[in-house]
Amino acid sequence: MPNNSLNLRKKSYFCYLETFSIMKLKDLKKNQKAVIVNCQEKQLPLKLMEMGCVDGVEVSLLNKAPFGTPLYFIIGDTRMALGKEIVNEIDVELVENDAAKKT
Amino acid sequence: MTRQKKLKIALTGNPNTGKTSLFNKLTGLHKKIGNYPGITVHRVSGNFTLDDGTVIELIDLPGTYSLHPTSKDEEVVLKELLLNREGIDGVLMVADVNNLKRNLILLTEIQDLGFPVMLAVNMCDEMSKKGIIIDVDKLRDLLQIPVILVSAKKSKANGQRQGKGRIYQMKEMIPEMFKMPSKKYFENYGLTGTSIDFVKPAYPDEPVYKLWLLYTEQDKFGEEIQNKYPKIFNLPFDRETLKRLLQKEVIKRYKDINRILKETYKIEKSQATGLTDRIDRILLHKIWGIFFFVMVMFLVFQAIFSWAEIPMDWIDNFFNQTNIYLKSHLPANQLTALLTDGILSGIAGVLIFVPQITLLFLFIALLEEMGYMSRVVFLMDRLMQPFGLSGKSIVPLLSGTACAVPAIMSARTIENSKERLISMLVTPFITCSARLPVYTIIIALVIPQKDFGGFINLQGLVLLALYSAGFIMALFSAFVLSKFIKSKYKRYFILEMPEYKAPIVKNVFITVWDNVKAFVFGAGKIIVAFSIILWFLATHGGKEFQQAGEKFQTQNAHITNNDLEAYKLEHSYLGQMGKTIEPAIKPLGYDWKIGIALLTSFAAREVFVSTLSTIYSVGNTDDNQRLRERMANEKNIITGTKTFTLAVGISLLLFYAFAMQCISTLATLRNETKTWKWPVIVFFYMTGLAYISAFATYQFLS
Repeated sequence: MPNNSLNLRKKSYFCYLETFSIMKLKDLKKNQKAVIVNCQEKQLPLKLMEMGCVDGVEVSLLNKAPFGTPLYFIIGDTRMALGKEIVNEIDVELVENDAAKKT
Repeated sequence: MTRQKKLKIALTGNPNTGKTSLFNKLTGLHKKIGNYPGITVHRVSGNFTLDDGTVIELIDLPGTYSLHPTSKDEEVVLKELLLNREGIDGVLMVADVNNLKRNLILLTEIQDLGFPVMLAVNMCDEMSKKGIIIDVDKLRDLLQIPVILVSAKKSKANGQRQGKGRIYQMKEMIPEMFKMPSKKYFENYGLTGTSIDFVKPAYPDEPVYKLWLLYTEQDKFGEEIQNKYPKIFNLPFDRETLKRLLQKEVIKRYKDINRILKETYKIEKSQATGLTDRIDRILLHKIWGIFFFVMVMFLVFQAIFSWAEIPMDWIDNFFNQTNIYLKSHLPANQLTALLTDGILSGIAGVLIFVPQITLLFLFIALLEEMGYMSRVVFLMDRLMQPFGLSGKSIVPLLSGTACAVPAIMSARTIENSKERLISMLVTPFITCSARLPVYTIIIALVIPQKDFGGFINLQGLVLLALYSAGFIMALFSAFVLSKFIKSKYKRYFILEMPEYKAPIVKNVFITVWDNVKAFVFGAGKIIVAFSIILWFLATHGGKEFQQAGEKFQTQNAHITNNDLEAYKLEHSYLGQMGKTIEPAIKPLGYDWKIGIALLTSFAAREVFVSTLSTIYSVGNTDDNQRLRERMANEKNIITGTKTFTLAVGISLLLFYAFAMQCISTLATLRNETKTWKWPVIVFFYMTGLAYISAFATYQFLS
């Protein structure tokens, strides 16, 4: 049945996420907590690191702008909004997944 | 003989740390605003005196997160501190108590440059609320600099503990920074590798970190510096490797800072309030956020359109009355005319803008103080970014519908200097309220009263089209300019969102005052000068002008005063100029009478209407009905056809939509950019565009 196979695929996708739980910062959902994993290796502006966005720092999404980007996070102690060109680059690892639990 | 001791202290800190509030608290209203040479970044400084008579000159440097600049403003901080052309003696660093860790990055960098530093931890009034505890003495010992907790907000409000005493203590503490041994961090990081170590012996007196910054930021320095440090600029330069080293530097600094803060800074997370989060949930909401923003902008509109009108009328009336009074009490000669119609009218032309500027900056300062302006950028960035503008550019663009003068000034709040410049340059395209009287009279003249489907009015539609044309041209020009104005800095969107705060009322008023003052004494001077020149040209002329009175007396008896005025204007210098430009404006469909009106429009666009009234001898300038009839009947002397045909009307409308015809706007542009280059470019670009579009429409329609 087509319906069934779709469900199956969806499920395996979630399994994959839960095992590795590494994702792009842009895919982070509200109420999810994650840790930045590879900020240093990417060609990102130094300013980002100076503002406290370094590996191992906790990050959660607060808001999305009405027209898609920028995205608004709390990273460490700092609230900051980041543009598309940056959130596409940063990888994060989920530590808590409230959003997934709710669904 | 005692010589007064003078110290130059630079005020630095991250953005949103209340640096400017503290600056205001320290220096009061005695500040000097200038520009750094060659760039559109303001240099603000102020003085205060210590008990022992030492005069401190405090220089308010732009806010930055580090000495690695990402904009022209931040570059100023790097250059001021690194090259120290001004002879800065020490640095006063302001930090936000809520985010001390990040703030200290800049502090350690400045210490590495060898400057005596003092740390002022601001917003200490929020500590108890947020559960923050700081061991000030230990922090002072570990950082080896004087440290003080202050609150720029509360320092006057509650008298006893943090009262004026804190600011006073802070001032008196400044000399202490020169007594502390300087601490260095960078030298222990081992990052410079062989390259800097190799050239170090050539510059024995310079701190290693200075050489390192000269090396890593070498593309920011001109030939003069390159020649001064040839060995550094000759080193091999590999951006990739360097970037890794710079990242390592940040990590190492964070490690050092963490070590220091672990012993001195504690925060009880449980007590942290989520007020900002809760407000953001509404103000940044997809629907409510936009709704709230529109309401705020509507309020600003309301203020600069209708509230400002009341004091503007007062100013207008006051100057009119004074003019009449002076004319009736002073001898009727050239000097009186110069004083009343020349100088006083010029001053009135400056002061008339003050209500709008005051109100606009009242709103902007309030919103900025409360932390809402960052949210405006967040909400609007996606919309403005394709045109090379900042989210904040929406403020000048929308305020421009009232008047370009306050609107251009409001671009000051845009941090990025390229985006700020583009916003200022395109704002004059926005249809301002002075164009409205011109539009109204021409539309009424050439566009028929026609309804579509019973409710859409053709005249209204044309007006809407003109407003849209202004907006579209502004955005299009911004797009073009963003391709032409080169910036070394790639645009990354990284924006700190400060916590919401209650505004400091005094700060708001200081901001308003600074801006009004900058306009009245900066742009104002130019406006007065130009109005006097215009007045002179319109009221003086050659032989025929001087003999106008006699000529009319000897001619037939039933000539009116209006006819005399018309004759005089025709033969004044300005009238001659109108006739001289006739060949140039003929392809647009205009005669010399319209030419004169175009020239007088430089005083203010709405003068177009009163000039035509004078030329057509209508007299009373408020009588639009009569002027319209007169214009409708106006015929070309040679061809005998009507002057104001549809083609001429549309051509004139487009000309007024695009042409740069406002001295006040040009003066403001000059005052904000501190160079005539940009106003001249804007003038030729806009007027050229106006000419071409008016030419094309006239040739096509006629």
